[in-house]
Amino acid sequence: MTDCPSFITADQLVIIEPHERVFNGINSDYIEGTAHGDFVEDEFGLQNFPDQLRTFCVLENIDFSKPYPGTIFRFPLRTEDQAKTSRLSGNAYPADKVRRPLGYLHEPPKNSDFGQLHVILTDNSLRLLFNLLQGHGYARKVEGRGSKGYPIPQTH
Amino acid sequence: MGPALLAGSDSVFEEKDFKSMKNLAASEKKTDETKIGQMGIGFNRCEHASFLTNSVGHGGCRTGIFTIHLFAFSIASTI
Repeated sequence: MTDCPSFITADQLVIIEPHERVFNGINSDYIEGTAHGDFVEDEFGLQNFPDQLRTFCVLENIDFSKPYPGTIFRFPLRTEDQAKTSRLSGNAYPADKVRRPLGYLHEPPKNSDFGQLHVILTDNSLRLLFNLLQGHGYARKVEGRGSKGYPIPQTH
Repeated sequence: MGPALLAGSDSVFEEKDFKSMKNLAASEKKTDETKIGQMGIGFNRCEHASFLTNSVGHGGCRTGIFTIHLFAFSIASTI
């Protein structure tokens, strides 16, 4: 799906980027092909990869002067051009290809090939929230709550 | 900024999670370009990262999920 997953957790920014299209060996002492640093104390990310850090703000405005009280993963979808040169996969992932399986989460588990997905998510989650952003606005928000059982998806 | 899937949770990485992360990018399959995860971030390696992992087949698509404590997930990882 992606050639460059990244995430923030507490005060840390981690960019896993084996192709090194974004960076060139910075902080590769942690993991080869990975940039990793403290975005609060060292302003890592703000100085080196400001655009990469800001991409985490699409769902909420994050104050990067203090630790983030959670974890956000970002999976930029592999484009057609990237797929041509990717050493991970030759498959591109247009948005529709990813949106489709997310849509199955609307369905009751018994009617969905993704029933196992429901169970996995809801058995270990207190609350699930899905946002589909198109352009700069929310196109759809689906919320489900699970507690060792099936979710009750709601469309808003 | 192109399309992306974001997943979040209200828990944070612990030191042991970061230590496990090192396995993600240090796959022993690195020399075999025909193998999934030869670059070290394949789905199989997620299992070694202290995440809850599983996969669900759907047609030719494989959906990968990994969760940390409460939830975080990825959709539509494929072979």
